[in-house]
Amino acid sequence: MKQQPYRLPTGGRIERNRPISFVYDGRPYDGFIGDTLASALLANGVRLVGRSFKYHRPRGVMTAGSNEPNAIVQLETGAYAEPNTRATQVELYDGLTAASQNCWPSVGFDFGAWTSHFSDLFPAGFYYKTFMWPRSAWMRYEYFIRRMAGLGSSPRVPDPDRYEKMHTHCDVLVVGSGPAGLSAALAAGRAGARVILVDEQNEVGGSLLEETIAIGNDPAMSWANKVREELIALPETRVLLRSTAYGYYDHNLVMISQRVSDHLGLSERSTDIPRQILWKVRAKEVVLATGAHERPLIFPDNDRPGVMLASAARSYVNRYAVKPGSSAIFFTNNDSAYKAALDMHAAGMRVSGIIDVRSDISGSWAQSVRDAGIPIFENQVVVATHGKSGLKGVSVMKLNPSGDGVDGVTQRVHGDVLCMSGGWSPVVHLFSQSRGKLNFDVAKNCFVPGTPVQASITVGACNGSFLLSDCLREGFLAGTEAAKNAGFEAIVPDLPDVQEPELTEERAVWETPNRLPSGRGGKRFIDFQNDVTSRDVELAAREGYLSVEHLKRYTTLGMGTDQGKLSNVNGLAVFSRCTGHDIPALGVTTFRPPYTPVTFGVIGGRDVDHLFDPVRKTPMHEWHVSSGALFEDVGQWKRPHYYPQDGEDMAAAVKRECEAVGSTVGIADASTLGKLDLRGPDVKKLLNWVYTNAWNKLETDRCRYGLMLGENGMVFDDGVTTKLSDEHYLMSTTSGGAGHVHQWLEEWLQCEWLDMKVWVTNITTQYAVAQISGPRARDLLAELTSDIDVSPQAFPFMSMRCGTVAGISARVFRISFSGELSYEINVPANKGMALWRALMSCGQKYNITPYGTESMHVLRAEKGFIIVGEETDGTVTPMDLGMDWIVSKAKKNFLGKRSLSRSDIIKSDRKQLVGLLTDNPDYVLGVGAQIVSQINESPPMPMEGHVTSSYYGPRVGRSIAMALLSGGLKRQGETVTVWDRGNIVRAKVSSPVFYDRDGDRMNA
Amino acid sequence: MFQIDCPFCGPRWQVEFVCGGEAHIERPINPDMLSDDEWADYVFMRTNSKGMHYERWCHIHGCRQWFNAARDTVSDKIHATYRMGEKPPELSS
Amino acid sequence: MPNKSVGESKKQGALDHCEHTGRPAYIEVGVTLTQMRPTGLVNVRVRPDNLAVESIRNKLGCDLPTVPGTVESSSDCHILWIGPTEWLVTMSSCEGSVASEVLSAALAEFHAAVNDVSDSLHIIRVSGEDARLVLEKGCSLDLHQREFRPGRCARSVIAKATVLLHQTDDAPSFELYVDRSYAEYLWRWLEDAASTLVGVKRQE
Repeated sequence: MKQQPYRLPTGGRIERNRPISFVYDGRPYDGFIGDTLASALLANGVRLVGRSFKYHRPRGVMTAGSNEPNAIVQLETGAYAEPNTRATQVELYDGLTAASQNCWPSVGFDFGAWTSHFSDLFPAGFYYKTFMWPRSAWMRYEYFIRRMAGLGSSPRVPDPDRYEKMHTHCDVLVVGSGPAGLSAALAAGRAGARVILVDEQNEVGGSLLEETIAIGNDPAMSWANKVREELIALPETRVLLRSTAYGYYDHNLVMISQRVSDHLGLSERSTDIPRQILWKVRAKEVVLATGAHERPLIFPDNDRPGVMLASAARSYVNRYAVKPGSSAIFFTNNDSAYKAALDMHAAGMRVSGIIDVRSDISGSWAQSVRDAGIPIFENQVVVATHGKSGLKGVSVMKLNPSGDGVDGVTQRVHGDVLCMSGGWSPVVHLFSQSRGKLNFDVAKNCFVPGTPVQASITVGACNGSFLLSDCLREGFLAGTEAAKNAGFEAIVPDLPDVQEPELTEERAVWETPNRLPSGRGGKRFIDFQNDVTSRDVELAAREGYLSVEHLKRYTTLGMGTDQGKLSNVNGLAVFSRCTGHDIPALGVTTFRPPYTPVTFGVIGGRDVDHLFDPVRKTPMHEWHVSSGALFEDVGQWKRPHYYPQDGEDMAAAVKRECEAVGSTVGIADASTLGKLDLRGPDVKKLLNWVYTNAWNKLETDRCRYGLMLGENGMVFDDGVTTKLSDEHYLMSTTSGGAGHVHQWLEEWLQCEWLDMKVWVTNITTQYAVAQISGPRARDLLAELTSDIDVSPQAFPFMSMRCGTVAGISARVFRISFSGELSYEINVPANKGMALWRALMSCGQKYNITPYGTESMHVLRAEKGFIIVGEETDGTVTPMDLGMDWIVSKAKKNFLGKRSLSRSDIIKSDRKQLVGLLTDNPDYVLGVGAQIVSQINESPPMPMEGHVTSSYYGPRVGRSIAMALLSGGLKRQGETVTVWDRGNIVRAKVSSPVFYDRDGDRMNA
Repeated sequence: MFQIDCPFCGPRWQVEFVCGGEAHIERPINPDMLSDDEWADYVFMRTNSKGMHYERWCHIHGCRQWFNAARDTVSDKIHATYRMGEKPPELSS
Repeated sequence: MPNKSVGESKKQGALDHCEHTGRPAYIEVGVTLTQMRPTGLVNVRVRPDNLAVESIRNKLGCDLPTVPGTVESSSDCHILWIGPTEWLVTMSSCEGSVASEVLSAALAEFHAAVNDVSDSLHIIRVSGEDARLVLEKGCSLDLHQREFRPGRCARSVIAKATVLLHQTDDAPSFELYVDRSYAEYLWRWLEDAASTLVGVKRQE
């Protein structure tokens, strides 16, 4: 066990009987369970923990929590690597490995630090001003800028951890387990409400973790743990630790990221336990007890390692038993530094003095400090800090009588830690995310929550109440009120007795007065993480920026991973001084989730790998798999794409499949086509409304093709509908279109035509569908059915027959998408495989050939059949498709009809569907290739249309394509030029029907 | 994510719903009598209110019923939901 | 409830090939996943006026539930409320084709739609003291016993699948009716969700 030179011999909440070791920047160190990485580094005297983002200045630990701007480290390596973690929140475990970021080759000697010598060249807006010209060079600049400015590096291998999501409801959600949050949870929990108490730390307590004041007769943390035990014992109360409520969304939805095993060593983690859990909590009432963050003061070189928040120093001493240095100097405008000074004095640290901008300081805190013999430098400010990579001392001067400058001589104060306090900012992030407006409290110099917009109550320091007794009282009241609002009877618990000194008034100071203007004599940082100084804010104001949102984007103030927790209010205050507008008039920038960064892993949860998205399979799927099919994704469906044999490529397989369909018989799985059952006396009326053609004369057991339009006149689905009886029809839709069409019909029926009597039921997956197609399809069907007369006279094209096929009750539709004699056999889904096997076995003598979606598409393209989504893209009317024949002239009204006569729709130069035959019959155009009216050296060229489908057509023995061409319907016979991936191809405009124009084959 | 009070099923999370846009737009009875502009107004033009907005939702993964909602677009508070055919409540944002 | 062994070997369900893929962990943590074989499942659309309700009661001996999210049961059947004009009728004593004939006959005089959906739905039963925890991983319904009880049903979303969920007892047990094409996805999802239960429970 090596010595930890800055570890106090006693005290703290660390587990001294559990020593552990860790590695930082390649060197081994020791610490204890209960340490954070930051506290352990400080205990070992490591003060330099990183380099700043822009100027690469040396930086040390500044805070003890989620507001840390400097100690941003890379954790672990390989698959477990995690960049940009806050050392102040990383719980130390045995074997932890971490490294500093944003420095090369090392944190001690950083090559990028040269930038700070040229910092005059890097003002606010530097990137916008410099690298945007010439435009084309940005790509080159960007490479170097990213290298220089990069934060950590992300892992290159898959994440080995598992993540979880939970959807939870509760009556009262309490965010923050400090004194106010614990009280609120207790009051609501005792009432019987479903309560969730959430805290980002590993223990409850919040500010009590470093508090020395007693609550009732107990030390503060004993009280906190008693409350915790009572809460855990309540059956409906849940305490979530290591859990950050990072987002407050609509209707009281709060997102919480819980770190379940991040604090365990890598070898202790198990894949049965999720690393993190994302809780989506819908709460009836939310109590925000999120506390407050101490603010830094703005003075020259206020970023030197050793400068930290007074509250952080107090936390290191009291909670972690770590001295942040050997001798401390304080710089403050309020009482909280006094508390810290007394605690450090009590821990045996030398305290060189408290530099306080206030004068005539009285009150019991000051009295105690004076009693301890600590000097107070009243009415003085720090004008400079000294030391190279670590603080050695400061220079102080007296304020002038008006308080806006300094007078007299400088005095040197020695110390290696400067603990600063510029007052407190309530953590209003979640309140602001809930859309609550913030008010500036002039007495407290901070933004406090205004009227809540959602069902929430703010309490304690989050409300600007900084006394412990106030926090407890507000918490009890809020917990009681929240429980009552959620419908429970609740009584306010008795308030324990707390003896604490009154606070004296703080003096509003942000950037402290100095001898020199802010551009000189050392940088005065506002945003430590993004290296934004008061000079940058001044520059932005001088350049005319007036909105805080613009200020933020121009200077990058508050845009780091810390989201400006330390810098927001200070930045505003300086901006206020520069613009002459007071802070309330300027307002604040919007707080956005997440409060602290959230891992992609937990956002993804288990929606990864095979569970990323549902895979829908047809009842015959396993057959396709065992027959070597390759699959195509059609929406969420897996459909056989083609069935390669003996090393065939796609072209060869498709040619063989298509030729089989053309000469004997092919079989395809069409189960995915949508099927909607329509019933009621008004079905015919509905069909007349939603399709462009007329449905009055359709006979029972006959089928008809229809196009569906949106009210804008554009085609959005097509399919065949069959009349089963007077009040019973079956509508088919495209694969994946069933849901949309169902919804479309229901919307009209429920919202517009309330008295139309039609029931629509989606029965898509109740049936498996085998499509047999080819000249021998009839022979095959005849062999498997005894109760259906398959003769052409008895079972003509576009009709339906019920009967049994292979002993299975079936509906057989004689419709064709291939242009050949074709039947679609529908059977109950659980019998789909049996049907398929029967067809395959019986079809052997006809050399039955399974074919996939690619062949389906080739076959239909040869016939000039459109596919919605290929030939149409939401801008195509039936006329554009040359399908005037399907648009009824007689019907007075149908959906989309009026749009078909709009001036833009009847223009003659609209893109219209044509066929294209390339001069070279073996050349297959690319889908999306552009038809151009003039060839230039390089794009742009004047475009006239584009290819929508293109294949080699085995049945026609050459390449074919369909295209949308400007004025195409009147351009048959013309030769056009196609620019296809750099090739210039000539093609003749033709009819889109390439095969069996008279339809003899499918009517056979 | 909203929580929407389905007039049939009660409060459910937004994942179960789809939004159908502005409510109370009646289909013109006789489109042929309308000018191109009037028809375009029905097909394309929608109000973009700051404040109370009446819109159509469908509980697509629940009871499959369409209904109307009055939502304040500033706070996203849903002040009322009501069934198709019912009159919108008088509300001010 | 419908839980009949596979009658005809010709029949094939969407989950037949994924019987034994589960990680064993879920048994230890108090949840059991079971695939159930549906028998007669019928989707019914009708306006629930008194005459229609009475006609169904006479034929099935079971009421048509009109309170949203409730289930009426008799010895042979459950009727689950889906929407104000839509129900799922489950009959354990007969095949879907027979069940739909029974209902068609009951509603012959009404404007109604009766569809056999026995082949399009699968049923997965999630049962045991941790059943709620498993479901809450993917479902936004409030299944707490104060809000949801045996005899309640709800159509909702679990992970990325739409399901009709029916609580059948206080174990608690939930029967999930899911479209056959989503059944395998949901089954695998539930298996995976059950396998990390330990972690979710330990942190409480």
